[in-house]
Amino acid sequence: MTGEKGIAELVFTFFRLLGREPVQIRKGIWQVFLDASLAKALDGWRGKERLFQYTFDRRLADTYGAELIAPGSYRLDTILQAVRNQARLSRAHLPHDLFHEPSIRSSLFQRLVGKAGSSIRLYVLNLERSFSPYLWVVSLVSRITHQRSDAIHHSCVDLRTGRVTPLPISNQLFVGGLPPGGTIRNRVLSYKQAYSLLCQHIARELEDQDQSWAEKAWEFLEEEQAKLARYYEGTGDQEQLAARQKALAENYAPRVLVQPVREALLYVPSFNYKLVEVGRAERVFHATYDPLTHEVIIPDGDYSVPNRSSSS
Amino acid sequence: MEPLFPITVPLFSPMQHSAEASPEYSEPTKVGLFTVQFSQGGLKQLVQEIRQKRFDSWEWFLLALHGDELHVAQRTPSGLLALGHLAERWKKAGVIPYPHQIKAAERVINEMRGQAILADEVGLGKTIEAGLILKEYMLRGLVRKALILTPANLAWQWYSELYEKFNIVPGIQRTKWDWEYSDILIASIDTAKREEHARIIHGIQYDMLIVDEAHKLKNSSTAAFRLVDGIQKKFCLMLTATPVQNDLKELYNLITLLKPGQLGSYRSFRAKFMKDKRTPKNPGELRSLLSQVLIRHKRGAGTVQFTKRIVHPIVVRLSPIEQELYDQVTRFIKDAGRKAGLSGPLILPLITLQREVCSSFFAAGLTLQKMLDKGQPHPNPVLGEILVRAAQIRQNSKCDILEQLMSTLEDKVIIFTEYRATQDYIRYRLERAGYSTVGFDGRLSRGKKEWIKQQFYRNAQVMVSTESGGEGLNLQFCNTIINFDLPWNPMRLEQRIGRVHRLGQMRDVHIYNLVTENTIEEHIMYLLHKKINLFEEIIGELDAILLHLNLAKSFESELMRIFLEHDEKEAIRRELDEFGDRILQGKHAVKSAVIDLL
Repeated sequence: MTGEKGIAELVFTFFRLLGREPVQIRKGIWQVFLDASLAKALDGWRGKERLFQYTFDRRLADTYGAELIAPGSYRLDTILQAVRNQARLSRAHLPHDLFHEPSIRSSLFQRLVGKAGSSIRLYVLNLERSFSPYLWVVSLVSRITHQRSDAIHHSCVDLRTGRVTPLPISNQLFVGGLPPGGTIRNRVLSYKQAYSLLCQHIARELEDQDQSWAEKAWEFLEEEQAKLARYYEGTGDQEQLAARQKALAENYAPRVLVQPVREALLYVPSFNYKLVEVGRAERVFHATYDPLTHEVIIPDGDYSVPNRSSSS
Repeated sequence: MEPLFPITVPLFSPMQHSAEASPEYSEPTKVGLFTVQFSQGGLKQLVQEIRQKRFDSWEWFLLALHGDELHVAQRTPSGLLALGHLAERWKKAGVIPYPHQIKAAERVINEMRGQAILADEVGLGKTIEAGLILKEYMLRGLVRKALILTPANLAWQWYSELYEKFNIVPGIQRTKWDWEYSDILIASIDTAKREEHARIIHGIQYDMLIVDEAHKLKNSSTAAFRLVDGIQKKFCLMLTATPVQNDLKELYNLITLLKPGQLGSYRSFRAKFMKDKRTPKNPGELRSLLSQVLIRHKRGAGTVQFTKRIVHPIVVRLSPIEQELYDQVTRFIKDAGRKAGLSGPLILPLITLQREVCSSFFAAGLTLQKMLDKGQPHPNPVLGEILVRAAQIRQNSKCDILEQLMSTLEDKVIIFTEYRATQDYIRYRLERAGYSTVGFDGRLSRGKKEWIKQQFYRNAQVMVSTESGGEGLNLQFCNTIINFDLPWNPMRLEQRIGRVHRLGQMRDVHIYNLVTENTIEEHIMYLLHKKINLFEEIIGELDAILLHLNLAKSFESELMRIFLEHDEKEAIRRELDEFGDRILQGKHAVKSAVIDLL
């Protein structure tokens, strides 16, 4: 949420998390006490404790002299800076009870039976609820030519499988901290490997996106380099020409910088079923349901869909 | 004390990294038409923090994430970010950006890719434009390291402009360490061009370079030119009111310094665009090429209309005893000056003494005493006699007139004098007469200057200032100036008037000049007021004119020559007429050269 509502929400949450409660002293104007440390966080070293009056309405700011918090305003900028300097790393989990297990079970059966044919019957021998670790990385992706445009990029790396996906569920559903109980499945990938997979994923995504911005930058660069070449023509100073052209390329060649700005370890519920197939040939196998991707994962060789003719 | 936030993580300031790839980024990987670099520092930090279990609360995490999104959304440039960001600061500081300044900043950023010559006429706020562009680039995360090269006497002015109007806190270069450690640095171009400094500067990659008074780089064989040419920079702004003065080659040099190749090689430029060194060929095409890198606004419709300057000369007649003393001092100066010769080492103290004696006998007394001490053990008896007579004088006719004048003024007033002794005396007299005064001079620290300025704004009616204190002082809330004495150099006079007659002044400015009859002041006044009409007209390109006439440093000497060579009033007037004509011709030459092309 980045509109005016989003700004107000951010400001109120900021003060709430700091244990301050802004008071509305006039319609649209709030007041909150800034102690010395908070004043310094917002105003730099010369900040002193004071009553801070603010508004989100430009008209009210002009009329009553309250500080304006609006897109582009200095005060919003200082609050954003204070907020963004916090919480580089966190962790959270999705509780199991957020998901309705009977529905998962029924969906699982439908899929397996659908694959194998209606002749088989499946029973759950055991259900183990555990958590799979994911690394959620929020990156700042900056496209740089003579201008710069930034975007926030979200990706999740499954630390067991290495699969990279966008976070397919609202982050509001997560609960902070480690899961209170239940097993956390061991990660298979190191963080370095996970980061490397993430980089590859982002590079693929960037390649698929519109590249006209880069085309324009190259056009400009070529034009400028041609001008330089004409300027140095006949001077014999090839070394300087090369140096200038290199500097030009360094300044204007299109490039993308990717910088992770925030990360979280996410523990996502995993429903691990031990199932038995009964019918012609009885067999026991495991299946894991991932509620993030709605996928059913069956370890290789653990289960093969029985062939109806061979089993008959 | 409890920490303010749950965990204050020493972040690597996510969005404040340099626009240039720093070592924390991986080697560039080619992806399609561009390269991608991934932060390696980010990975290291992540692993380290996970190992140290430095986990913050989830609520703060979500809030910070929300902050990131808002921040990025704000940075999506649909206009200038700086305008919103600085709106409140400007409201408090009383700064109103003019539309032409905003337009210039937008053009430089969007069309000129941060490389431009800002060539507005004097007084249209080039510094504001440059500050706005710098701030905008900083907000967009494209500039972190910037260098501002200015003449040494403007460094503090730049500092206060950037700090007060743009909330940028630059450093002012003092030692050679500053080049590397200060992100936004203001430096004297004369210091920077020295070999030991230039070597360091050339090793630094700057995101932005700003050069003030860039017309001083017109000659490609100078050290200053070589310095700027060798600086590695992404964005570059050059500020000058007179990008071309005498020779189109100067313009070529300046543009080539900014953007080599923009005007081709000098040979092709000469063939294509120069009839002779002052007359352009194909002006349309040249103008079109220039407009890609040069912005020039002129006073008048669409930019800024200045209020009027109204001059009130007030003639002061010295009492017989004062006049006698003045004549004696002048005779002494003429005798000594003729003996010493104009190029002799003694001429400078004599010029000073002649100027001081026009200001007050208090100011002259100190110099006379010094000269007397220097002549020991055989002191000049004339000097001793003058000093004794000066000490006996109990009257100051100029101050009497000043008091009378003050009784007719109700508004705030700035009184300028060149000398601190005179400043103290004026304050003493005015305080005694019941006026509240503040003194402003070059000895004051920056903080005290600001405090005095506030005192003047809120409480005092009169500010008595020496001009060394007046530089960089913006006092648009006041519209009355009294020149207690006249500086001999018109640049200094222009600087005095410029304290109040500048952007933001809403009322006509009244300038009262106290001119003592039968003294050199009368002649100076004739030259500056009657001859070149300095007071009422903003000469604008004054520094360029003086440079053009090679008078920038020798204006005072030239006047002294006239006064030493002639005793008769008429002869002096004749010489001053000629001198004034030279200045007017220079003004015309500079103006026409600039206007023809731009």
